[in-house]
Amino acid sequence: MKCDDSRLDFYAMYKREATEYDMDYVKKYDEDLNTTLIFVRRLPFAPASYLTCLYRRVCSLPSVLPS
Amino acid sequence: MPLQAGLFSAVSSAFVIDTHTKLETDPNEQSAALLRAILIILNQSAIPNESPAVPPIQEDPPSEIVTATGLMYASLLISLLAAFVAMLGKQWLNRYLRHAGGSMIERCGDRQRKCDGLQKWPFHLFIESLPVMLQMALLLLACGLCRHMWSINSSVAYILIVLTALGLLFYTIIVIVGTSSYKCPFQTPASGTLRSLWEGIGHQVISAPRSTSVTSLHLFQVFLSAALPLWMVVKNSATYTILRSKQAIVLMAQGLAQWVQQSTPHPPSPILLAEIQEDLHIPQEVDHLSQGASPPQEPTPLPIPPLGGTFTSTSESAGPWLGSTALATLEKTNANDVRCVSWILWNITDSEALDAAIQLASTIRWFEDGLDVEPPYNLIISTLKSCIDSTGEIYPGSRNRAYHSAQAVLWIHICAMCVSEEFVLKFPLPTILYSDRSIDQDLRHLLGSHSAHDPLRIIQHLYTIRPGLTSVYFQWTSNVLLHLSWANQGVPGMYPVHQDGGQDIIPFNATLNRLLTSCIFFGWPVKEEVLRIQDKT
Repeated sequence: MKCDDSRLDFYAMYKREATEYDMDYVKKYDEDLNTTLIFVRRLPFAPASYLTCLYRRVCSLPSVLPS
Repeated sequence: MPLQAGLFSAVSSAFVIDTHTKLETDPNEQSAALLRAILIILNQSAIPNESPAVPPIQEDPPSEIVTATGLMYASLLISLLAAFVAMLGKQWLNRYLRHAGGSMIERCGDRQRKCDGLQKWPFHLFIESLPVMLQMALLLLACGLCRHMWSINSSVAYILIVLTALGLLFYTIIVIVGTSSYKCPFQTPASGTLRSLWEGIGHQVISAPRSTSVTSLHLFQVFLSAALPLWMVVKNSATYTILRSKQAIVLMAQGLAQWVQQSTPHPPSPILLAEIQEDLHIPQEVDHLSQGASPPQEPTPLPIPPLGGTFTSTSESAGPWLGSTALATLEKTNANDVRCVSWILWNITDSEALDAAIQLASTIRWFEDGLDVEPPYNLIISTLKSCIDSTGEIYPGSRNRAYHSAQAVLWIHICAMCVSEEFVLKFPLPTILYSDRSIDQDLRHLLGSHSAHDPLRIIQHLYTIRPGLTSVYFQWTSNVLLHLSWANQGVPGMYPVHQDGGQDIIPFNATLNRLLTSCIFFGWPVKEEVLRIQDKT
């Protein structure tokens, strides 16, 4: 019975510590991911805009002209 | 800061587009020139002094356009891939926080399995790869810009190339500096990877001569030369001591008679029983019991569990208490306990949590789950040493922590004894200097076991019954001896070495443990799932 009591005590402590640890862990990685997502949300804007320009140039080349 | 970086990239891209349209010839001008040429051909009187100039025909796009477009698309896709991985990472983190139902202990076990999975599978690599992917996307974008600008305006291209080269140089220096020193604040994922690779190569170079000197053959020879004589010493000593306590054995045998008759007996070791009977003059009924109710058969000794600590009982005889499903549950519970205790010891510094973990560490079965026990073992030893000052006095308020740490250290050492001789060497008992004045009898007795490095002396020490020892101590030692008996098949249940008082405080559960230990010693069947239960009352 004493062992079961000590086991319950341990798991109560474990749950408390694990919850705190997991919150810190997830928060840290979540911040990293949010940083990435913010940056990614903006970064493709530059190549995408530029690509639009290039794509228009590629398509507008006079390859359709009669030789 | 990231938001500013994103906004900056958006603003800069707008400037790039604007500059690009100014530097490059507008493709619409070609259409206008063609229309003008058509107009001149159709109606030369409209513009009389001008000849139609047809723009040159170009079959394929220029190579600089193709290169720049490829680099831009690569940059775009890599950044989108980074967004995809980041989105997956957020889903994985949500799943990690979402626990399954069940009791608190089951949820804790589920959480620990997920946490171990995070360590086993390189989750952090995915997260840390995201900045690398963005850096690659940025580099490709810069290269594409330089290439395209080179074909348009070399002066502007020079500026871009110089700035890109400076950025690359800056990043290279940062990686080198970060790799050279961990204390350097300019750490990047690349520098961390390079440093771990460098340390791994250095460690292999240093440890290579040592690993070749200790061969597996040498370890096997050491094991054989040490384990076999040790086994004989333990068994013979146990036989001798049990012969000394004649009356106790006879009473034990008579008390067990009825229980043995109800089960299918595994005959005990015939040599040992013959010695006992010869010396004790045990009456015929006990001899009959030893032979069992069944007709004479070749003795089938109880299988010794394989070295490695996996206690797989093949005993078919039924005990009335638990079945195989319960055994599987107990094994799973024990595996959870081992993982959770190891995790707490390794990651948490809270003193209450450490105390609870160390207390549980002295009851769970180590080495069953393949987990590396060395880190928690060393941590418990350091905790034990931190409870005692240089003069051997226990620090105030550290008695319970020292007691449970000493229990856990001894328990892990005994579990290692049950696995192999090599493990005993791997988990040596620490030498603890302590003062007799400041500690109670239980703790003194435990620390005394630590100084007995011989397994036989440890067993004798655990069997010793002295005045002043509490029932808690007897409870724990009886479980230890039962475990040892099950693993080694050689520890007698009744082993009164120094029985000079204190027997009346042995709790009933400890007596049951010793009774079961005797059953194992005599070769009678005991179900493993019964042994795993701490409180057998």
